[in-house]
Amino acid sequence: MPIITQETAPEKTDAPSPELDFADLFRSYYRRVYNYLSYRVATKEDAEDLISVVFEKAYVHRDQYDSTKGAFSTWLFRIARNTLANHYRTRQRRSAWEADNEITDDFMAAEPQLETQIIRQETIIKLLDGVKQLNERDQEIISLKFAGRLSNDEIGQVMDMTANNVGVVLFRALRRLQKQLQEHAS
Amino acid sequence: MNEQEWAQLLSAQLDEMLEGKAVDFSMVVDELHGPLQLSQQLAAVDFPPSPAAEAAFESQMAKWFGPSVGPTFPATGLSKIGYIHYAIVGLVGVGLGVLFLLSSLLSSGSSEELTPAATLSPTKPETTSESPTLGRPTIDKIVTITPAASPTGVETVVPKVTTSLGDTIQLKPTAVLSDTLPTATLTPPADPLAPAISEPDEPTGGATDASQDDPAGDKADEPSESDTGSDGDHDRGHGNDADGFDEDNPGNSTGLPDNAGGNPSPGDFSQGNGGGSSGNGGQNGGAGGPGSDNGHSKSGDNGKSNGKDKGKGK
Repeated sequence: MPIITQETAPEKTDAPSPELDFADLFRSYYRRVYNYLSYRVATKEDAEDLISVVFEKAYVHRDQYDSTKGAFSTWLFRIARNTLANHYRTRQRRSAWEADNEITDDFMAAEPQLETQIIRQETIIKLLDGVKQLNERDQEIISLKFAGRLSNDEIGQVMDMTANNVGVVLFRALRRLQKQLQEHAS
Repeated sequence: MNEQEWAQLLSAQLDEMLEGKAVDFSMVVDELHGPLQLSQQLAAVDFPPSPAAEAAFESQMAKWFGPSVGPTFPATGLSKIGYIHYAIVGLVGVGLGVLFLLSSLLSSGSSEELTPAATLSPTKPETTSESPTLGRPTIDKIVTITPAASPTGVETVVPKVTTSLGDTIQLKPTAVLSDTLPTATLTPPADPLAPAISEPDEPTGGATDASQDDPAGDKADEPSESDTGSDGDHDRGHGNDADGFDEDNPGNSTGLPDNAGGNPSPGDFSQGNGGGSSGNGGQNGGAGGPGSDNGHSKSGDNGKSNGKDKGKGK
C-alpha cells in the first residue's frame, strides 16, 4: 500500500474527502437532527431510535450526495423527514404531545430556581401542544425553522417550496399559533 | 403592507434572532410582536440527547469511519495515513528531544560532581627557604642549597640528598651566611679569683648574635681542639702533663713530670691551673726531691702563689 503524503495526496476539490468530511458533518448536524425529531415525535425513545436510523441511511447513501445540487443540511434533513414519515406509517395513529413528556436534565439545569423551572416547563408544554394543533405543513416548517435552524431557502429545498412561500407559510403558522394560545389562555 | 411583505420582514427578524442577535421590539411593528415572541420561545426549546444516545452514535461513527477519526479533524487534504505518518514523525522528534535533554543534564551533573574533587588545596611548596632545626630534617627531596640573606642572621639548613636509590643522606648542618663562615667564640669558665678575660671582638657577621638566636649555636661557639691549634691541654691545668709541658703555665714546665718522684703534695691540689709554683713548693717540702727553686719558679713573681709556700713544707 503506497504511503500517501502531502505531496502525493489528491488535490483538494469542492467535493470533500468522503471518509473524513462525512464524519465531521455527521457530528456537526447530530444535535440539530435530534432536536427536530424530538419536536415531531411523542417520546424521547422514539427520537433516539429515529436519529440512529437517519444517520445510518445517510451513511449508506453518502455516495449519492451531490454538493452541486444542494447543501448537505438539506440532504440530511430530507432523509430525516422521510424517516419520520415512515415512522408515522408504522404507527396506526399519531398521538399528541404528551404533557408528561420528560424534560431533560440539561434543560432543567438551565433554570436556577425550581419555580422558574416549573413555569418554563408549563410554558413549553403549552407551546408544543399548540404546535401539535397546527397542520402537518405548519408543524414541519416550524420544526425545521426553530429546531433544525434552517433558513427559508433550505426549508424550501427540503419541502420543495420557494423561499418566499416558506416565509409566508411560516408567518401564517405563527399567527395561527398565537391565536390558539390566546384562546386557550382565555 | 401585504402579507407577503410582513412575511419577508418577519423572516429577516427571525434570521437575526436565530443567529444570536437580540430583538428590539421597540423597533418592531405591532403586527409582528406576537410572532416574534412566539419565535423566541420556540427557539429556546432544546432537546439534548441522552448519554446513551450519544454513546450509541459514537459507536456508530467508530464502526463506519474508524476510531482514529476525531471530532475536530482539520480539512487539510491529507488522508488518514498521512496524519498517522506525521504523528509518528512528531513522536520521534519529541523522543529525541527528551533524550538530548537528559544527556545534557547528566553531563552537567557529572561535571558538577567532579568539581569538588578537582578542587585541591594548595600545598606548601618545599623549598630551601625553610629553616628547619637541626635534628629535624623536613626536606625529603633533593634540595638545592641557595644561600639567602636573612635579616635574622644565619640560617641553618639541613639539607638532604636523595639518591637515585631512594636513600636519604643527611648532611652535616652548616650555617649558611652569604659568603662568610661563622667563627668560634671561646668562653672561658667563670673564675671568681681570676681577672675577667675580655672576650674577643665579635666577628663580623654577628657570630655572637647567632649564638643568642640559635641555641644550637652555643655549641658551635665552644672551642674545639682544632680551634686552639694544638693537641689540647691534657691535664687541664692540673700540672700533670705527661710531656712535662704545661700548656697552661708554660713557665713552670720542667720537662720532668711534676709528680714523677713522689706523692702529690697538697699544694698540687690547692691550685688550679695556674699554681704550678705550689706544686713546686710542695715538691720541695714534702718530697724531698729536687729543689723547687729552679730559678724558673715565678710563683712570687707571678703572684699566683698565695702563701701556700708555707704549706709546702719547707
